[in-house]
Formats: sequence, C-alpha cells, structure tokens
Amino acid sequence: MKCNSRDLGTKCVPNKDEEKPQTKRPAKKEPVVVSTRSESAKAERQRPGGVRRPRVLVVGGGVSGCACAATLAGSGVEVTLINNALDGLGQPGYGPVVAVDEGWDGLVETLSALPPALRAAWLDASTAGDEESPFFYVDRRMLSIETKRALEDLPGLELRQALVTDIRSASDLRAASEGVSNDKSGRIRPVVVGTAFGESIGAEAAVLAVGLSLEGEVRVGDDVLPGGRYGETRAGGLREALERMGASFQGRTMDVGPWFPMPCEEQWKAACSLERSPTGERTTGGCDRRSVATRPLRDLLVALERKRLDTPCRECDGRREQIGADDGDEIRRDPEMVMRNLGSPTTWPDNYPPAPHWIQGLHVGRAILHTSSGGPSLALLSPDGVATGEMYLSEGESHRSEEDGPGGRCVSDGGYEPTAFDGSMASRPGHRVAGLILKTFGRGGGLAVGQDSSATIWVTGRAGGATGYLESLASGVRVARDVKRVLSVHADSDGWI
Amino acid sequence: MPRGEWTYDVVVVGGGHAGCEAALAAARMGCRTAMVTLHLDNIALMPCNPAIGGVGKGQLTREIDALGGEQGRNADRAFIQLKMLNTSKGPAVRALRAQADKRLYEDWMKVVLSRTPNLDLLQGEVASLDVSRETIRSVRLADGRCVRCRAAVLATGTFLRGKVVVGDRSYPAGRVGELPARRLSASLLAAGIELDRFQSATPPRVDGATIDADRMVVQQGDSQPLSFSHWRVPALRRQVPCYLTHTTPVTHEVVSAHLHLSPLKSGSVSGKGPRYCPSIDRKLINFPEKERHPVFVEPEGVTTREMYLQGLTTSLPVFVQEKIIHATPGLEKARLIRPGYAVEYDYLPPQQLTLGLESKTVKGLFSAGQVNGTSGYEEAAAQGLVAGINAALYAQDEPPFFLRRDQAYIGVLIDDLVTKGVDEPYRMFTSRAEYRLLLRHDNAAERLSHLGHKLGLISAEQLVIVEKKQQGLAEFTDLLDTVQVRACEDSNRVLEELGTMPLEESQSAAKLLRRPQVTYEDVIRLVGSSDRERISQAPPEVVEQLEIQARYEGYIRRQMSEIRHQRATETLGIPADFDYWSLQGLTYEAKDKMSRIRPATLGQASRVPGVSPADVSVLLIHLHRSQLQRSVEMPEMSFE
Repeated sequence: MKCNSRDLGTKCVPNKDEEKPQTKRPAKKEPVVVSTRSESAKAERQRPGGVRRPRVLVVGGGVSGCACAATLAGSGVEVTLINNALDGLGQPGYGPVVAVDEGWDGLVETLSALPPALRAAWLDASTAGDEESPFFYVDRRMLSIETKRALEDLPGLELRQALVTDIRSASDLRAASEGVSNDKSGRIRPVVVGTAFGESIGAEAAVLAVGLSLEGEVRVGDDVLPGGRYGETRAGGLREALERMGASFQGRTMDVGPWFPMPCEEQWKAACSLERSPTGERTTGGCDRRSVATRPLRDLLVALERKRLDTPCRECDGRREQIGADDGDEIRRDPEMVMRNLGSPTTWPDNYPPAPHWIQGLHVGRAILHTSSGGPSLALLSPDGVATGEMYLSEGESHRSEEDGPGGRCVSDGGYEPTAFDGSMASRPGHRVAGLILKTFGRGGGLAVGQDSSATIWVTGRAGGATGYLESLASGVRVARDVKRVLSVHADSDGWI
Repeated sequence: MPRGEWTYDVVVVGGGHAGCEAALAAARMGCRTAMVTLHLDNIALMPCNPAIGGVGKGQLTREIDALGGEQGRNADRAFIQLKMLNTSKGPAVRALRAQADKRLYEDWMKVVLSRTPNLDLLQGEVASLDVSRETIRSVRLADGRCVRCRAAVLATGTFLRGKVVVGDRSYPAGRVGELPARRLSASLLAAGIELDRFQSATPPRVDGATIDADRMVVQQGDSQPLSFSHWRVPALRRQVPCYLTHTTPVTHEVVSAHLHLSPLKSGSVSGKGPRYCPSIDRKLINFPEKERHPVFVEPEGVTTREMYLQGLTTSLPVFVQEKIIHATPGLEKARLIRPGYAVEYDYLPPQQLTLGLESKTVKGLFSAGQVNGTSGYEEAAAQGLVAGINAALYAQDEPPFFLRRDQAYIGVLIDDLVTKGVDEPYRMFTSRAEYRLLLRHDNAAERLSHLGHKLGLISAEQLVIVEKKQQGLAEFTDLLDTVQVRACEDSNRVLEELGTMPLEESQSAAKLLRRPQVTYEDVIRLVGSSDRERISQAPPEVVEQLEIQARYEGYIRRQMSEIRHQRATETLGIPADFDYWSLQGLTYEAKDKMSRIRPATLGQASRVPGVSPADVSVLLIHLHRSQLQRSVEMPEMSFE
C-alpha cells in the first residue's frame, strides 16, 4: 500500500489540505469587515470586564450544519444552532448510503478533522460491507440521536428550534428603524435572523447550512411538496432576504430513494430463487441478492490501519510508527493514533434497540431491478438502520446529485416496478428534491454575502455546492475554520477573546 | 393489477399512537394492513409530554395491554421512570405513570411495526378517499398511488389542515417542522363528514444543564419493580428523577403583562383548547386567585438534556416564554431550546361515529385519536385499538366489537365521545366512570384479556397467565376464609400495635383483612406458624387484589348489583333505522338529537344530551310494545 498524500493529520508528505483551500478564500483578498457597528456598540464591547466571545448562528442542523457548529464551538466561538425540527438534528436527509469517493484514507481524513464527539457519533452509527465496495451505511436515526447528544454536551453551543424566515444585516435593520438592539444585553449584532414565530436572533456572523431548502421542492410521483427534504416545512422568505443582501443562486436537484421493507432471511432467499434462468442469470423481475454481511465502520477502519502498520512504507522508510508529531511541514501518519482517534463504541442504555453492536447483523444486498423504462439495472440495497426495518435502494450512482437541468429521472415509485420483494410496495417512494444553492467563492461552501456588506453570511454543505455527506461534513469543518479566522481578525480591535 | 394500485384489507392513515395500535390490531387479526403516514421517520412520536399513564390514563393503558395492544409493552421498554400514583388513596384512583425516553419509545414501536406480519408501512400523504354507495373503496395518495381497501382508519392527529401558532404568528404544520395534511379535509367534507377546529398546545423545553435542581423538589421513581404490561416480568432499571417547582406571583405578573399577546386573546387561534390541560395563560384567566401552579420538570430521554416543563404550556411570543421561565424558581437561568406553541387542526365531531368508531356517513371508514376530538396518547391508543379491531372485523364481515361502560374505561371513553360529543379536547378522568371501583388498573387483565383472546390478539399462553392469577386469587381467598387467627396474647399485641381492636375469639384471616388497618403482611404475622408459609406464598399482584376485595367488598358488590339491575335497559337495542320523529311523547329536542346520534342501545340513548328520563321511558315502552327490542350482542363480563 502506498502512502496517500491526502491523509490528514497523518502523513508522510506535506499536508496541503490546511493551506490549499485558503488560497481561494476571500479572506486573502480583502478582510471581510464587520464594520458598521456604532461607536457605542463598540464601547459596549470594550467596557471593562465586558470581554466576550463572538457569537455565530448556524442555520440548519443537517450533516454540515452540525459539523460546522461543533467545530466552531470547539474553537471557542459561541454558537447557536438553529434547526426547524430538533428531533431530526444531524439526521442525513437523503438516504443511508455514504459514498467513499476519496478512498478509505480520505474518509479517515474527513473524520479526523471532526470534533471527537461528532466523530464518535459517525463511527458508532455506521456500518460497512467489505473493503472493496466504496460505500458505508449510516444508521441515520442513531447518528441523529448521538449527534444531538454530542452537541448538547459541547460548551458554548446552544440549540434552538426555530424556522428561519429572514436574515438581515443590523444596518438594514436600523435603516428600517426596527429597533436598535437585537441582543438580550442591548447590544447590536451585525447579523440578525428572523424566525417564523417572530423571534430576532443576532450574531457576529451566520452560517447557512440549509441544504436544498431555499425554494426547495420535493417531487414525488404526481405531487410536489414544499421543502428541502421530504416532509419538512419550508422556510419562505429566506431567499428573498439573501437576494436583497446580494447573494446569488443556482438550481440543484437530487434524487432520493426509494425505500423497501427490510426483508427477513426467508424473503431474501425467496426473492433470489425466483425466476432464475438455466444459466443462473435473472430473466425477469425480482432481485438477485449478493448479500454482504456488514461490520461496524470503526472495525473496518481499524483493520485497514492495522494492515497499514504491518506493511512497510517505502516513502518514509518504514518510520511510520514514529508519531503524529509535526516534522516541519510534514505530519506523519501514526496508525496507532488514528486507531485511538477511532475510539470505541459509545455505551448505550441496555434497552436501546440501536445498540451499536446490532449493526453487525445487517446485510447489504445487490438487486437487479427491472424498470419500466428499459432493461434490468443493478441497484444497491442498503440497510437504513436497525430500528427502521427498511432498506434504501440506490440505483448505482444515480442517487448522487446532478447539476441543474432536466437530466436524470425521478425515481418515483412508478419509475421502478417495485416488485423487488414479495410484490410489496416501496415503503417510501423515491423522490426528487430541487432547490436553490448559493454561489460562493469556494467549492462546497464559503462566503455567500459579506464582501461589501456589513454582515457576513457564510454557506456550507449542500447549500454551498457540496455533494454527498462526506463533502458536506468536510465543508462544515472548513467553513467553521474560515469563520473563526475572519472573526479572529476583528478580535483585537473589538476586544473579543 | 394496474401499476400504482394496491389492495389491502385495512388502511390506517397516520402513524401516531392511535395509528400504531389500529395497524397492529388489524394486522394481528389477520388482515392485510397498510399504515400510511406522512413521514416514516416520525412514528409514535410524543410531541408533548414524555409520559405514559397517570390517573385515568394509566387504566386505559392497562386495558389496551389486556386486549393485546402495544402501548403498555412499549412503555415498559422505554420508561426511564416508573411510579405507582395514589398508593395512599383508594384502589380506584391508583395508577401507573411512566416517564419515557421519547426516541426509545419511537424506535421500539417502529421495530415492532416493521416486524409484524401482514403489515406494510407506507410513506405518503393521503389526499382523498374514494367513496361510492356510502362505502369506502380506496384511499388516494397525493403522489398518484391508489390503495384499495375494505376498511380505512383515520388517525391523523393534529395534521388535518394543521397550523402552528405562537403569539400572532402562524404557519401550516402538523407539528413544528412537519408538513400538515393539506388535502384530506376537503375530501372528507365532500363525503358528507362534518369537521370542526380544535387547538392544543405544548410547553417550552429547556436545557437540563441550566436548571437549578437544588431549588426544586426531586421526584424519584418507585424502587420496586413495576410494569405496565401484564405480559412482561417487572424489572428494575436505573431511573431518572423529575423535579417539581411552581409558578410565583412574579411569574403570573409576567403572564398578565403580556396576556394581550396570547393567541387566546388576539384571536389567532379559533379552535377550542383543552380545559383540563390548560396553558399558563388560561390558568391565570380561569384561576386569578391562585398564587402558584405546580411545574413539573421532566426529562425527555436519557440521551438528551432537554427537559419538558409540565405546567408552563403556552403559545405566548417566544420572548415572553423566556421571561415566564426565568420568573420560575429553579429556572432562573434555564435556557430555552424549543419554544412552546399551539397547534390548530380539523377534527371530526365524534357524534358522527358509532360505538365501534365507524362513521355513520361512510361505511368502512373508522376514526381514532385526536382527530376524534380527544387529547392524550392513552386516549388515542385506546381508540386506535378499538378502531383497528372494528376495521378488521368489518373487513372480515364480522359484527363489530364494543366495550360497555361497566367493562372498561375504553367503553366509557368511546360512549362519552359518540353519545355526548365534545366541546373541547376530551381527556380521561376516573370521575368519568360510574363503576370505577370495578374498573381498576389491577384487574384489567381479568376484565378484558379473554375478549382479546377471542379477537385473536391475546395468545392462549397469555390467557394462561391470567387464569393462573385468577386461580391464585380464588385459592388464596379460600385459604384466608379457612385460616383462623387465634385470640391469643401475641396476636392481640400485634393488633393493638396496628391500632385496631383485639380479638375476643378466633376469627378468619379474611375477616381480619377487612379491617382498614390490617394489611396482608400483618395477616401473615398474625396467623399461626403452620399456615404462615402457605399464606406468604401469594404473589404481589394477588395480594393487591385480596386486600382490595376484602376492604371494598361491600362497595364492589353494590356496584355489581347496580350493573346487573341496569343491564336489561342498558343493553336493550334500538334498530339503526328507528324513526324517532314518528314516536309520540318524545320532546322535539330528544327526537332531533337521537335521530342524529342514533344510539345503539337504550342505555346510550339515556346519555344523549337533551334526552330526559321521561323520553327514555317513552322509548322503553315503545320498544317493548312494538317487539322491536333485541339485545345487542355485547361481550360478557368475566368476573360475574
């Protein structure tokens, strides 16, 4: 095995990841000035003993929002994470399949950058097939529960359930003479969000992690529902507000689903023995199972790391076990540290059904589906967690998002002949989500508003162009670091710590 | 089969507490059942109080369990605190109450649902019902799928044209964050079903790490093993405490100062709310003289720090909610996580339903839960179970299943709903039952499990458990009758210690147990050593019943004879097509009300509001005279 130059925190060769994105960042151009605060507000900040931390609002508690909020809180910034429905906090909205496009090492890299508690949540809730198939499967519900627990425990991070419908800079607010303070202590914060229940919450900066919910629509068969993911209420007004502040948008779609009831062992067998041709090829309908028993993702990564330990590395003369420490620009990969970072499963209450070890009993299946349009196609059937009793069906790569345009087809229930198992109906029909994403200065997130405005508004995750959960995770962490850096620029002049 | 068209025996619309029970009951009774819900991630949610049971409600849960429902079992799997309430009071008001881990409760229910044969879970919005010749034919989903069915159960909770409200703001949602059912109401109206508006509200949640527990009273769970379900062995589990605080005049000042912002005053909520679960704003309007109201601070689960503030229900603007919380002792620094809010929704005035919860307008269409104008998870589940059973029976061409008022709280609940209707969300109380000494939480299995068995919801093995308990009860009742306590010095000393009269001559243990001061444990001390071992072998649930039987024998007997006395008129059937208008001697109001409600029995007729005893006599005479009477087939009581 060759040393991978993208291994983070961890490598034989210089790690460019920390530096690379920054060169593209607006911060290098002109400092983003959070400038229009009144002198009195500045005085307020600087009053003796009045040292305080900046506050950042993270709007949206999906994959990237949680990663961003946790990273910010971990770096000493006060964060308010606003989500429309706190029960769904941290829950991936588009199925349980996570494509490991960057290889397993890339995954370790992404996970390593996460705050430990959030990393543990992802590892606890994920299961994987074998090393060869570049996917893992996340128990979305378990991830949500553990993420919420992790975030609640982070000092400096506050959760708030609210539907954000408006966002403004404080100077606009004053122009409209809507009151001078937007903070409990009477201060003025540069960014203010308004909620559907009439709250105004102020902060030094806002990060939008709103997925596809801007003008989001979910198309299921003949129906169009509002929302950035199936079944949730949509924030009206936010797009208009962003437009007023100078943000620009582009369309994006995403195909999701369908889900089927998880077959029991007998059903699997029955489905596989159906209508097999003499050569063993399936001829019509049904599903051809290639079942792979899964194991916790953590176990897979640890095993890969062990293997790496046993394999000498040519590029660094087998000095791999030396450490984790900085060596000039180089950081060496320390498999043992990586393994430590991977940690061990969190202890759950005994009576909790999604206890992490349960996840080992799941199966991944390959199905040959016969669609209404054309011949058979290969699909992946993935367990959607231990308590849902459902499997997610992704048609090869088609569950990945596409650029805007009419391409791609709506994988609704009518699209597939859903006879995969036992003639039963899909438990959740496939659907297409279409919404607007924000144009930014970097791929997968960055500054959306703020170059010339008094308020800085960042965007991360899918709303910032990220595709896939892992990209969203990485984007959340990266944007958090950028926000922190920009805020630090002002720290001295404003007396923040 | 055309594409996008599917056939089931029973379709259940909604996946809350009513929907889950209905779907499980129908599937377990052998019907091919589909549960259609807006979102499969939101099954069996507890969007308000994270608790199951309590006085009145706990009895419902026990009855659900005795009939083969799931709520009790699921509460046992998910509880994080379990408590027997009112142990110092009479047996009629004793009840279990569980604090549940919400997520755990949902997860377990989903596991149970997904492993139940005959049951498919489908995600989608039901947009309309196909009704022809006054009979349900299919439900149509918004995405274009059509699900044919023989029977359908509506269990839509607060989702029909739901709207959430805080202060003067509102937006369409079934619960905060969830899309409402946008279209079904129109289809129901078109089918001739009446709808009205109700509202309900939930209190704010705060961060448990920011409360000052030292300033509140800690409330622990029971330290002895308990269980809701008759079919599970009671187990002890590490339990989580709740806390008790109260509002103060300062809290009340805050509320009063902002009362003009309340949706109740501003008119942004038009529906009627629950009087028995009032918001703090309403409490202040209704009880201006009270200086404090209790506030229970309850954990929402073991994996979250969120705490529920029972008693601070409000839909005042969010900044007022924060002020109210901070003006409450122990919550001065509490950080608001979820603002409280009100939800307004369409419900079906339940007088349109039969005692089997079937619509009188559309055959094969049943409804259950909040959509029938009730509140509470237990009330919902109880109706869900009955509606599911009746939907299955309907699909199998079997006669419907009812429970009488003297049989179960479930009978009381449904009879109240369909006979009297509701003018606010209905909640169960023990005072609603006239035979509450018979409808106890401890004898639910004896009252109902044989009925569950007949329906196919209770297995033979489960029935054996109940029979064993009954045998044990009979055995020990006989034993107590035969065992004598001698009037010796030792026994009299014990009796004096207990503060009761000494014995002058030997007496049976049964008689001694009738004395209010003497418990079963005392009896064990009093009897001779030869009998002591046998007597002390009674299992705890038998002991409980022995004590109740002994102490309340007279009352129980009186209630039983009352029931027997009224049985004849109570169960006297009235034909469904009876012409009240042609019957002379009835008041206009009685004719009008009864021809709309169409009571199934004379007993039910007597409870229709506006029907006087004189009207009942007229009806009785007529029914006898015209030989129209027939006894409606109703399940027998087991303990007679």
